[in-house]
Amino acid sequence: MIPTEVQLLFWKEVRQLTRNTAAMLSSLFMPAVLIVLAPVLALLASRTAPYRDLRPPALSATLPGFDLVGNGEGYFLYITLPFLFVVAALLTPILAAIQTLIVERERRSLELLMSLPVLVGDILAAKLAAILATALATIVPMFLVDAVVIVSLTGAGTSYVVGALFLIVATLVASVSASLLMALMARDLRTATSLGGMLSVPPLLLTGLCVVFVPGLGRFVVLGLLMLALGCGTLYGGLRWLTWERYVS
Amino acid sequence: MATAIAFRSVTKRFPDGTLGLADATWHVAEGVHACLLGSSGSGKTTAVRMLQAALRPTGGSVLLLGVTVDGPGYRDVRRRLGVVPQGPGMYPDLTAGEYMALASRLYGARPERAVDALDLGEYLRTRMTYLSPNFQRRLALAAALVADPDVLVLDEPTAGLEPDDARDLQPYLHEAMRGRTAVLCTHKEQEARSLCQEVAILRAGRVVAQGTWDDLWRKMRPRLKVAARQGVDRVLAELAELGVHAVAEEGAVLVSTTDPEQEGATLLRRLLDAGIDVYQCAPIEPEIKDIVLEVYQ
Repeated sequence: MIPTEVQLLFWKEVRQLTRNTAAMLSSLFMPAVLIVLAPVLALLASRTAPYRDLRPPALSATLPGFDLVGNGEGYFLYITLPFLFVVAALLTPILAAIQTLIVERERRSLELLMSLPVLVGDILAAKLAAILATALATIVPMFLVDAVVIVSLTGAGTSYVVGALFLIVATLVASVSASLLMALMARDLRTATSLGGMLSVPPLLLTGLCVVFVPGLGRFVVLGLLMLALGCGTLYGGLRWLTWERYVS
Repeated sequence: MATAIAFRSVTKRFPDGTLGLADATWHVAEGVHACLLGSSGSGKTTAVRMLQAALRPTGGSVLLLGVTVDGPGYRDVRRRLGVVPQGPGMYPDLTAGEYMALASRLYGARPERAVDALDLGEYLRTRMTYLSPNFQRRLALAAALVADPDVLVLDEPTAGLEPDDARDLQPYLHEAMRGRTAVLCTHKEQEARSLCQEVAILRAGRVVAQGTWDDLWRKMRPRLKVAARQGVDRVLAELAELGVHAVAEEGAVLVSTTDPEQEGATLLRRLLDAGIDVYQCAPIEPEIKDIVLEVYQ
């Protein structure tokens, strides 16, 4: 059961996020480019002869992750697209987190929130849930556009779409956990922005490793599971060693 | 009388090593208006945050209406506590009405009574950041009063306000504190005296004195303020010759005494006999800073 306090704070956060034009534009623009615009244009281009005839370098063909990479389309589906999905799912929550977690503390409205009958844990839970919900509401519909194009233009099929969706959701979870860590560690906007960039490095490294070493569609499952583990580890570590007190002190 | 708030040997050390509270013990009985008096950084806000369960004590325990803060049953008693934070920031994307609606849902009460009491009715559609500083404080006070709480904590309610705004807020504070336990955290002695019967003095996280104002005055040795045409140094030198300890302060000399009536007259006579033109020799009311100094001496 979710406490009433968290539910009420959640809707407050969602209302504020959707009213914040700058936050909404930055949350919409990047996933729109990375998840809709770039893939759709690239897949349309892949139907042309030069792109279809593109061959990966001989050396890479020996790596397990390149098993389905026979031409430009395969390269795009199994090498490039996982990166685009991960980058979009990583950065969208972090940008929203800067607005909702860090700005709240900087403008001292956190004091006002804490004066209400809520616990700091309620405040953080509501904020993280709102960040996840708005990121899902932004990215999933965009990905569905992508999915239609992938299924209709390539031979990837629905299992590819399901795997990619799992990866996106798992990366969102990892990113929301990283946002919490950022809120506990950063005292101001500038530090938060730098930290956000640093916290994106481990997931991107994992993506690189999975893309190169995990064959076929398994890369989505393995990478998704790794993202979930990273998210849970970050959440546990942040609350265990940093404690939520850091957010208010 | 039951205890509304109790700090029992509470210590709070922050991760960077800063000591917020050091073995602080103080309590507020139900129905009492108490003041937590101390300069900036003395630990007042740390104490308030502990009552809110936003900070956990490193040692000791904090009780609110008999329940350990952050322990079982805390959520229920928390709804009986209203808190006005120190100089809170306002939301640019919420109206005063939306904030009051959130507060009232969280407290499980209706906001109308508090809105009327703080004269906020016509500002409910105004974005919070567009309210004047005075109305921003009133809004925070209204949110704290929404559930007619048993305990009200005011953390520097007039800090950062213009003198006129602070004066305008006073009647609302008086009214808000009436009929309930209230704790006022402030560094302003006058404000504390006008609003509270009891006081606890915090210095560097330690409670250095506590009790009613009369209790504290009784602990103080009365002092005489002596001023003369020849200046402070001449008076100090003469007093030293007479074997009287005194200190200079703001163009005059302060002399500790046990009986101002007897000793004042004698002292004045001896100074005049020594050729010093005394134009002021009167007992002075001790101030909080004197009490703190006395405690440390």
